[in-house]
Amino acid sequence: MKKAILMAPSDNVATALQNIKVNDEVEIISINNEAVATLKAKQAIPFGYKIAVLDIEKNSTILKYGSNVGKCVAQVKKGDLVHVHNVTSLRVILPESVKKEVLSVIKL
Amino acid sequence: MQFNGFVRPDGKVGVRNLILIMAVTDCVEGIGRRISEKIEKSVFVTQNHGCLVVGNEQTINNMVGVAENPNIAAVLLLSMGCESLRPEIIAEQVVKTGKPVEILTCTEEGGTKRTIERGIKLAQKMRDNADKITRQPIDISNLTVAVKCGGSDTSSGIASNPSVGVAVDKLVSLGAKVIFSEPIEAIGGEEELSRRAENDEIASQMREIVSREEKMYTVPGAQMEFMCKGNIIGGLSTIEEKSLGALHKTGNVPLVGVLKNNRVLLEKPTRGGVYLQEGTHFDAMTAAHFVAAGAQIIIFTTGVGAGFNNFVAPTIRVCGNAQVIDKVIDDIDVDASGIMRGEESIKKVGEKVFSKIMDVANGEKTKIEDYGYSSFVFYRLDPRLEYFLFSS
Repeated sequence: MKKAILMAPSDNVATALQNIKVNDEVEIISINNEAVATLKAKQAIPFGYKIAVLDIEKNSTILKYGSNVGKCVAQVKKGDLVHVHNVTSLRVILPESVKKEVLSVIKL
Repeated sequence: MQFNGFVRPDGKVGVRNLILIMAVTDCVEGIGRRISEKIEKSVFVTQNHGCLVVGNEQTINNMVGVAENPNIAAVLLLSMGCESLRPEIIAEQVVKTGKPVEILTCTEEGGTKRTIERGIKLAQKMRDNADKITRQPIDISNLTVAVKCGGSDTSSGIASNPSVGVAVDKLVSLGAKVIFSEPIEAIGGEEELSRRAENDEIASQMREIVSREEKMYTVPGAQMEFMCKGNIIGGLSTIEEKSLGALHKTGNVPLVGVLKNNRVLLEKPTRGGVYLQEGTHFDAMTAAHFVAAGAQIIIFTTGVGAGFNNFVAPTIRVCGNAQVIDKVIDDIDVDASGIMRGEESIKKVGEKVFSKIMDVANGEKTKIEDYGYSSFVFYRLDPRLEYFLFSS
């Protein structure tokens, strides 16, 4: 089974440790390498990208490492890819041109 | 614990034994490069902010710091002769370390060719004398290691940075000093750093440095790219996410100081512990700041990047992205990708990082030492910008 790592128990996103395809079953592991959940990927999640482990409401906080890493700007379902298309920083915003270029490269 | 280093007259200890050729202004850059080409184990440095003094104090403070770095055995300063930035301004500080310092001025020597000839003779003599210094066993508390990440992806926060953090904790427990900078990559990590600050004063200095950097990158109408596309293509979505991953490389030990690095002061670590240095996050410029603060070794963690290299402080590259390691295996000193596969623990890789630091301190070359380096670049915050952003 494909794996994604949850950096802190309170996080609502996990990081993919392999390339995950749509509909793959994903085992969510803790930093101590223990399985804590399984879920189905609703979208492709490339290696190193984040997968939602819960439904995340628009305007709520994205939690990784147990900390606030940004604001959710679109409704996210459990199993969705979480990245610059649905998350924004609360502190320093990426220039639009950079975001557009990156989104075209990663084809979101 | 001990390593074998080169003891300087001021008691500081180098892990390398280099001759520094420093052109105080880039007008004499060609002369300096020519001299350095002819001298074994010599390095060349100049700065590109003009030859004036007022407004350029941060550069000058850093030039002095670099010349004082214990990896440097002796210093040859070059000038054209017409600068406000007279070489004596630097020499007067550096001679206090007791290391040999010489000055050559092009217009006094009779031009470019004669300055080069004279410079080669002087520098060769410095080289011969430096070769008489041998390594001796010295306590690890004499080591200052700087940690930096670049080309970060999500493997950085999960594998390379946490394993370097383990090595940092061990270094500090043995009395060594560790420096990190990149204040933009503390944005979002202030709570964590405050918790680690030894006292409220240090926490408040840290917050001040980080908030200044945030202000620099959020000027209305002046958008700045602050994390590279490789970071985002590597899976990082926000600066907060990048920061929280980046801070793992500083371990869990207390933050014992914030080092000023500005036009008034360039501070150096005074005792064992982890320090945040004021500065920037651009690789070559940050490395110059580290060297100026006395770092003898730099640890560079990377995900999607690879070959960053500094010629004064040997640079150890740690990578957690197996796909990148496959491509550039000859550049990576410590492979942390086993953590990403769940095969190796962070602690185990951290021990490998620590033992690599000790090997490099004892003289072992890093994977690409001597194979080409990043330029040595002096960052300077323009005092006019500083005034408009922070004083008005």
